[in-house]
Amino acid sequence: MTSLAEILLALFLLTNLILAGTGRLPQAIRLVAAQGWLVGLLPLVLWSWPTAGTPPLRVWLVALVNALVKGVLLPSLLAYAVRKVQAKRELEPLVSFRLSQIIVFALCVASFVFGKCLHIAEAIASELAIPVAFATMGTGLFLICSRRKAITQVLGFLVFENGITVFGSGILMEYGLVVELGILLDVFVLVFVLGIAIFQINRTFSSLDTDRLNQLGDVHLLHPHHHRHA
Amino acid sequence: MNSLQSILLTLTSVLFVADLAQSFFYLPTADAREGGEHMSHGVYYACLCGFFATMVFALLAPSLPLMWVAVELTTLVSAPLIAYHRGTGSLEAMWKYLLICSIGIGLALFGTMLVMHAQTSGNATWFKAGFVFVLAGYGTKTGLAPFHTWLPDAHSEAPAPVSALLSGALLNCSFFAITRFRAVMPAEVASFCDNAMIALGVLSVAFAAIFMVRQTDYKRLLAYSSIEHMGLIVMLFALVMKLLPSADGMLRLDLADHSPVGILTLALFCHIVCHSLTKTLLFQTAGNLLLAFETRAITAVQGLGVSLKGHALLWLVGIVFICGMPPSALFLSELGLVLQAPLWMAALVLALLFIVFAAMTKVALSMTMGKPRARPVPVPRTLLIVPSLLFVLLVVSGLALSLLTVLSFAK
Repeated sequence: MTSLAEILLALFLLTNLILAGTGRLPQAIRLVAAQGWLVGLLPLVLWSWPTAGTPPLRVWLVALVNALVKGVLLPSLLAYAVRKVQAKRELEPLVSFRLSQIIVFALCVASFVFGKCLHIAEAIASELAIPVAFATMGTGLFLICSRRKAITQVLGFLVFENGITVFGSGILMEYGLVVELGILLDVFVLVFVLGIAIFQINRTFSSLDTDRLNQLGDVHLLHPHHHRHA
Repeated sequence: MNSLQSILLTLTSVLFVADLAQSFFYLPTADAREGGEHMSHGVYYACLCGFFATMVFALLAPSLPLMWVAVELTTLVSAPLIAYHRGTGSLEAMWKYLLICSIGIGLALFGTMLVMHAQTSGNATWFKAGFVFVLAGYGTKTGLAPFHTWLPDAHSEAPAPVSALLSGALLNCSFFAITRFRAVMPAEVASFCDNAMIALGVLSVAFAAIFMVRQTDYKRLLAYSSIEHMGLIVMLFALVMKLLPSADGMLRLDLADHSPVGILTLALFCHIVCHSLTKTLLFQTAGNLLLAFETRAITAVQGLGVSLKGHALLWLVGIVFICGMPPSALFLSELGLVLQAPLWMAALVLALLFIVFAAMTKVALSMTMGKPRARPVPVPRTLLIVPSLLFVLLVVSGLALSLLTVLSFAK
């Protein structure tokens, strides 16, 4: 069965794969913006038009605000941060770009196998939705773990959050307007605060590499002879 | 509104007032001592009030997804407070706090979706999966091991009143989120959920004990103590839920109820209240010591009993109280836990609590006894006001509770 929803979800997987292989921050931000639009459109596409008629105003509003916040507002905020701190590329990822793509591809395959095992046929809008949601969440977490630049970690978090939203749309979760907007508000404020933190990190460390952020922690206590406060 | 909710609301309000007052005395001295850049006081107090407001929102949220929105907001409003002094350490702590807690809370949102879907379909597997994600997600924010890694960093780098509020109020709010999910679980997955909570609780106490033994930083020591106590609280809650006869999952506090459920419920409430008050006292005193000695290293502070008598008394008594020595009400709650738990668990918890006791009292004694090595910088006496009031409150409430319990059992 091929429909608009399947095409949209397939595009989602495609953005995940390209995102894992790119080191240029502006391109990565554009990809996440594209995902934002896809996330916004998804509830409208998954709406069962023939049986349920035209969606109520609430659905349109949530789709619009989702697309605007995740597709326009947050990406332009991040693009502004990239320009300000003059970071263009993710130079030395902890995992090479080619290997990252292979890992993300493996994550997709694993999500489809896992999704098949779950047998969750009831109340699912599209068969692809659950595997794509798992794959996207996995990609987001992988990006957070495997990249050094603070901005790429923020992008990873956005991808992770997109995955959760796809899951919600996929199982036709109905929260009501207040909660939907509340969740969006949280994501927006989070990226805003992380953006401020990025500026401060850049100014204090003269770098955006988060592996400089490794002064705290207690693992040294487990070694027999520790001298940290020396 | 259930009893847990009303107690947590009262507790959060009391702690907020205490930490607001302490900030008023603490910040001017801290700004002078630390030097360097800091956040403007207007933004600080705005964030502090916002932090309180979002915690109250989280406690009063009418639905599970709305509670998620509120708990995530508490992270966002409190994160800037951690980086009040703009140093490298505080920035790192803030970044870790934001990222780790947001991912955890993201998992909790996923779990919320699973549970809500399970409520419409009635599928037990979805309930189980949902609770696992909720426990991992909100557990991250509660500071349960192995998701606790943000906690020692954030608690040690934040200014003292913020550490106190994070430890005393925020951890409880996110624990409350777990209890709300536990209340909607159907009977067939109940024992699975309780066992998962007990496992995380024991693991948290064990992690805390391991990292407290050789701890070199007295604020981090307090942070690990918070992990330990949240572990104990989750264990107590799981034991209460195991024994609770009715399926509605409501906790009712009743001093006259001498059944195991009644005793454990009383122990749970005692533990939550007493831990929060004592930890606030300790973090505020630790902040005062930090101002006087300008270091968080345990070895650098000696002979407090000679140089700073008032602070020494608060520090020593606070640590003895947090370890569960009578007349602290924590003695009653830990006694209740050990008496009502299965034998293996009681033995394990007792052994771990003994390690914690040894580690903490060793630090307290080495800091208060002996000859002063470095001369402390004088600190204003006003810094003692709030911790002293908390101290009086703790002693009086501990004695009153012990007396009440003894009397009610003697009847």
